[in-house]
Amino acid sequence: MPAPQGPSGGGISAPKTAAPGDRITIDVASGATEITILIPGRPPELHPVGPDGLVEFRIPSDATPGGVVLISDMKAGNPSSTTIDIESS
Amino acid sequence: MLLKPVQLLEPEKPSVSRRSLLSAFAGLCGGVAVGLGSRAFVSARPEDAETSPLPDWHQEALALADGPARELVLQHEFFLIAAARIGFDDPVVRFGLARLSLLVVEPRPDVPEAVRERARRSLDQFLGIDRRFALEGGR
Repeated sequence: MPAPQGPSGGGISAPKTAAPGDRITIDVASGATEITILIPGRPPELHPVGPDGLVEFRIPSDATPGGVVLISDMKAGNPSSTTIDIESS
Repeated sequence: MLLKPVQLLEPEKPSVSRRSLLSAFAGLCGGVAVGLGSRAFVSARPEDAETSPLPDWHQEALALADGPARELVLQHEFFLIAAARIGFDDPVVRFGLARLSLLVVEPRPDVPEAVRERARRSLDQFLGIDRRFALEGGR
């Protein structure tokens, strides 16, 4: 299984940090048609990738500051993934 | 550690009766219902459940749990999401989480420090926020 190409997994780009309630844009360059977003303590969410390769996502307002948001295209064999840190302030 | 399928032992001269046959049939129906239910949950899409019992990423997650340590740390996001979708009561998932928790506590020369630290924080989130993610003897 090939290793990810970088800290953001190569095929998925997202802000490194975001605050609860923020609306963010996730750039999916891996060719995936959907991504999975997981916030610990919540069930995984499937989000379709738009024709422009972008996904709009709003960080839940009750997301735990200091927590993480995991994002992956779940492509078997060569997944692209990244993490967003939820800001503490 | 290679996880192998459990071999079922053959019953010793089962005494067949109408009641036991009915019980076996009821159990079989229950097992099928549970299996279909979990399959639908894992795939998250009904069409997947009809064509493939488990997505490829399920197998990939299992391979990661039992594969090279470096890959498990580098692809921790993929594994953690797959674990959430497979179910945290899955023995292989539990093994992978326990292994990952051991791998992220100390620096590794073959993994960038930023990635290891991210994996450690992500795992801490899973283990700390939701009791379902707690490991029995994982650390």
